[in-house]
Amino acid sequence: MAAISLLNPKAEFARAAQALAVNISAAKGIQDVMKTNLGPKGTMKMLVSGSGDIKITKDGNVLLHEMQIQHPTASLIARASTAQDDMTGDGTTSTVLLIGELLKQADLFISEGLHPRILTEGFEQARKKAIEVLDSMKIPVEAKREALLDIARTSLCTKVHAKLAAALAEICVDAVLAIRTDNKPVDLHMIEMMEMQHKTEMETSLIKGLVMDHGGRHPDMPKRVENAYILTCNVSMEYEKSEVNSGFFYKSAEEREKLVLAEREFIENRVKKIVELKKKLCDGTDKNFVVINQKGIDPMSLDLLAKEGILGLRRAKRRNMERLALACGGQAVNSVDDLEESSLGFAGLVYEHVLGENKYTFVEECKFPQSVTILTKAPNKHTLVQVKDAIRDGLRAVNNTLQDECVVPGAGATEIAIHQELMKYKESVKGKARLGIQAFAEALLVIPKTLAVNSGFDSQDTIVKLQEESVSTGEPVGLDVNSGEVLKPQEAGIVDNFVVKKQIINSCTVIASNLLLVDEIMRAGMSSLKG
Amino acid sequence: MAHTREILTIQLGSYSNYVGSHWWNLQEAGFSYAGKPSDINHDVLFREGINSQNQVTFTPRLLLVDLKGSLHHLRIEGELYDVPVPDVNEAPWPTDKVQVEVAPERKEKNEFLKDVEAGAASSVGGGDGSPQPGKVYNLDKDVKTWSDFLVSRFHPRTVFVTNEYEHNSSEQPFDIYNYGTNLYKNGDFEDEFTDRIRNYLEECENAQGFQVLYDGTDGFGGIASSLSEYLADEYRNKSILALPLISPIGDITPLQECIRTVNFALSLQKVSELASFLVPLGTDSKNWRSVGPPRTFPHLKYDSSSPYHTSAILATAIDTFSLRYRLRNGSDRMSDMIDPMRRHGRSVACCSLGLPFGIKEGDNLLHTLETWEGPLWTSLTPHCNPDIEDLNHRLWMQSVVIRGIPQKRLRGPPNAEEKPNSAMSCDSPSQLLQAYLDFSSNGTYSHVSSSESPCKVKPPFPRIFKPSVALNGDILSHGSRSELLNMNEVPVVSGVHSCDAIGVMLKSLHSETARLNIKRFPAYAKAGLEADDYEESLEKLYTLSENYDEKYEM
Repeated sequence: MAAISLLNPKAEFARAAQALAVNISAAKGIQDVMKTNLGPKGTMKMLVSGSGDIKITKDGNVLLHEMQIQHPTASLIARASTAQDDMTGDGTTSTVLLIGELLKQADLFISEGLHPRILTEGFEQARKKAIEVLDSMKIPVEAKREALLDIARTSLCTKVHAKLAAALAEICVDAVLAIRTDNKPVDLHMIEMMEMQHKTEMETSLIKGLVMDHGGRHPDMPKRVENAYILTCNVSMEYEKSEVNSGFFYKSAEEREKLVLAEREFIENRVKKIVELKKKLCDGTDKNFVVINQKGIDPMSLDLLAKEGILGLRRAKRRNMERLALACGGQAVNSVDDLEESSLGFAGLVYEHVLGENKYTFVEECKFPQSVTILTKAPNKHTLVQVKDAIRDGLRAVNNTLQDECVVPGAGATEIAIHQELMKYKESVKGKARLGIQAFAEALLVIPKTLAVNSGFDSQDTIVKLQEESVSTGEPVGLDVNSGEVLKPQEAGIVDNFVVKKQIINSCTVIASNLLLVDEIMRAGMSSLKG
Repeated sequence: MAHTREILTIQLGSYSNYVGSHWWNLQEAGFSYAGKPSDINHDVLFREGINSQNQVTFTPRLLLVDLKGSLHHLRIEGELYDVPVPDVNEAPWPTDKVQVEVAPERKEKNEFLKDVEAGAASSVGGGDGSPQPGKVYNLDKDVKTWSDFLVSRFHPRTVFVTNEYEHNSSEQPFDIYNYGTNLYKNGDFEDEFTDRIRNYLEECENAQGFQVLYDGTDGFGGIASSLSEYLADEYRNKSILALPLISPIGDITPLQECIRTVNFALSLQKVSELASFLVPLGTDSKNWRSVGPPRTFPHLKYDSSSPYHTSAILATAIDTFSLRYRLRNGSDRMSDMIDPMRRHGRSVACCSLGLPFGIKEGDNLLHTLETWEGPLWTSLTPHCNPDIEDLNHRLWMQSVVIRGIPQKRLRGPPNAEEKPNSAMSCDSPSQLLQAYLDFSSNGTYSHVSSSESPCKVKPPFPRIFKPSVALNGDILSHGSRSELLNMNEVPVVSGVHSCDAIGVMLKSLHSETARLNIKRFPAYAKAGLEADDYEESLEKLYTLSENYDEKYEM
């Protein structure tokens, strides 16, 4: 009888070996689900909701978010793994796999009577050693396009098909390089993601400028302007009844009309100031004028602008105010008083694209765009989502590399190398802790093994082949998923983020150790008080 | 103003979606496809669009949030903007690499929805909602969630499902105020949600503001307060009408009852700071821990624990009182109703409903009012009873809408013997009711609007009318309606009132909440509620209730 049942007779509990078995089976379960999705040759999963909404993905992070995970242990692992994604943007599937495998290996020893505490001590030592080895495998990279392409492609290949991955890799790298300034961390928010349900995903492109999901709301406004001054502002050009004059403050309908007119004039003056500036700068030249406003512009104000041939956009995204200033220069203004040319931006081309009921406005040919847009295209919603998720991860991979200034070999090479180092290291450790190190080393091999299985090869065959090659050459070697043969990842351009691998090793060890040390699971919360 | 006075409606939470679904159904049932256009300007709440097949669509200008698993058969993107699902074989990945995982419970559509679908298929782009007018459905049994009786079809932008929490989950219920505020802040929720609001507003030429229906008693209260913060900041001059809803409780423990009360107090206080106006709605006469008996309507018989029934009543009230700012020939805006009432910081009001407005068969409005006994309506806000004839209570201001009384039933044939009185000069139901209210009230400022369109209570509106109500909503003096027929329409009266009873309601909410020891509910602290903030909220709630004390009247 567990102590908890004295306190709360309705509590559910599982003790010692049973508790461990619960945790291990949960970890294995979630591992089984995710296993087939690892690597470029992994399968996709199509998730169909009760109503027939579909989602097709192989991104571990997306899968974990979509799947209904009931088991508390499994959802703990899922959360660890999505946290991995939040931090680094990659490595979710690997995290799930590795935690599952660590517990599986540990189970072998525990069933022989080894205390979990000793095992976790071994894990800890192994973790430190593994990080050392990882450090020694770093390949320094510079912020060069070719080097970054490799890393982006490797990451994207595991999320979308190869042809698309290659295209997206270029887009991601170009986007990050465009907004990057020396010695400053890159703010990925300055890359706008815009989607269009149109054509195919291969048409996804990088726009060196900004794309907005709205257009001019007046039939007479120009649809395409060249050499345009861009005024970015946050000024209401919309007549709104203010609170004071509503209700009781006028005696007659005429008086009310008068108040309305006065209010109207106030707004009109704002528009007139913009028109004046436009006249001063553009009249007699081939230049044009575009107003992009964060606040509203009502039909009457639109009319005034349209008469002058000004393109006016209302209700722009808050973040686009900042992006616009970076893309075309100038700055966002909060008042139309004292407008000057210096606060305006400039774009070579501004045009509108209409797609059904949606309008898009492209601001292009900016001089030194420090904010760019990735325009995702796809024929349907789920492909759009898939491509968008992939791009997000690709950008993160590129950004991670810029921060790390190094990469590590991919294709399972790091795992093989760490395994070998750990097996050597094991010999130097005294006592039972070495068993933990051994378990850890074996567990790491799950990554190359799964890669091999997913590509249609025999896992033992592959591991042996890789290990032999690695010993004889002394270099990191990985698996060629196409031929099943050994390859040198660096030459093949298969590289992973250092920070991702490091994070996987760290967090998996911690989670696995925590789960191993659990000896009692109780369930006596608010929910069980119900019955 | 010639332009439409657009309103964006936002529904947060499952019960809000119940109410919302009824509301959109009622409105679509009122569309007139032929003949005289209805006197309700549907463009206020609906938007026109074009789908990818170049068909014109007319969908609610609506954003709704619910938890994962609550939609059942409803598709997130809706059906109107459907592109044919691509053949898996054409997909750019190898087919043998696709695993299909179908969600475990695939919900069957009920009989009603199947008929709606069949009706819609036969007349593309229209159909008047109920495909077989005579058919009686057993919706009381069939309805498991709000999408089970939803006739309206939505724009792809409308449905927003959060994957963080699951509907009806006992593992991880979404029942704490702070879960909502955290959910709003974390991840992409805020970005994506506010972007959709912006998209809607960008289309509007002359938006009046927002109507926010939210479940006040669970985590959605938290979302509502974070959202009102955004709305108040970004759309400063627009009105925000918040409608906190109190869902029927069902079978819950005292502990959960306390949590509901705390959630409601926290969200009400926070939203009242930010929104222009609040009208709490629920069908129980008392709330906050000890629930009072359900409200009674003289001609209704409803199941007070069924969200399907109670939400229909609330929806009728909302549909009716909101007519004031969405009539075709009127120019009133939401702010015209709200701003006078919210003076002195009285930003909370109560709501009432007369369903049906009890006009006897063959009788006219004037005679009905002359012989009326008892209150005109039933309150839908707990602890409040806005009765104009009650001298013990102060009713300061009210905005009342009466609908479904045709011009010819205004009064009986002129009678030479009767001496002319003021009622004779009234030539619309609104003027008549206005005169009646002014005459019988005790210094209440009343505003009355009227609409000719009655409330169309055809299925899927629940069958809650007593047999004494005729198909057209008249009260039968003898005999009864056949149970085999579906109701057609009813006249309705509904109002929003500012009265001192709201102060009583707020005070009782405050005292019931303050009596609880928040430390006994660790979930709040865990979700990030600071004890100081909590105290401050309660303090402010009390201050709000003091605004209703008469001595503060200027």
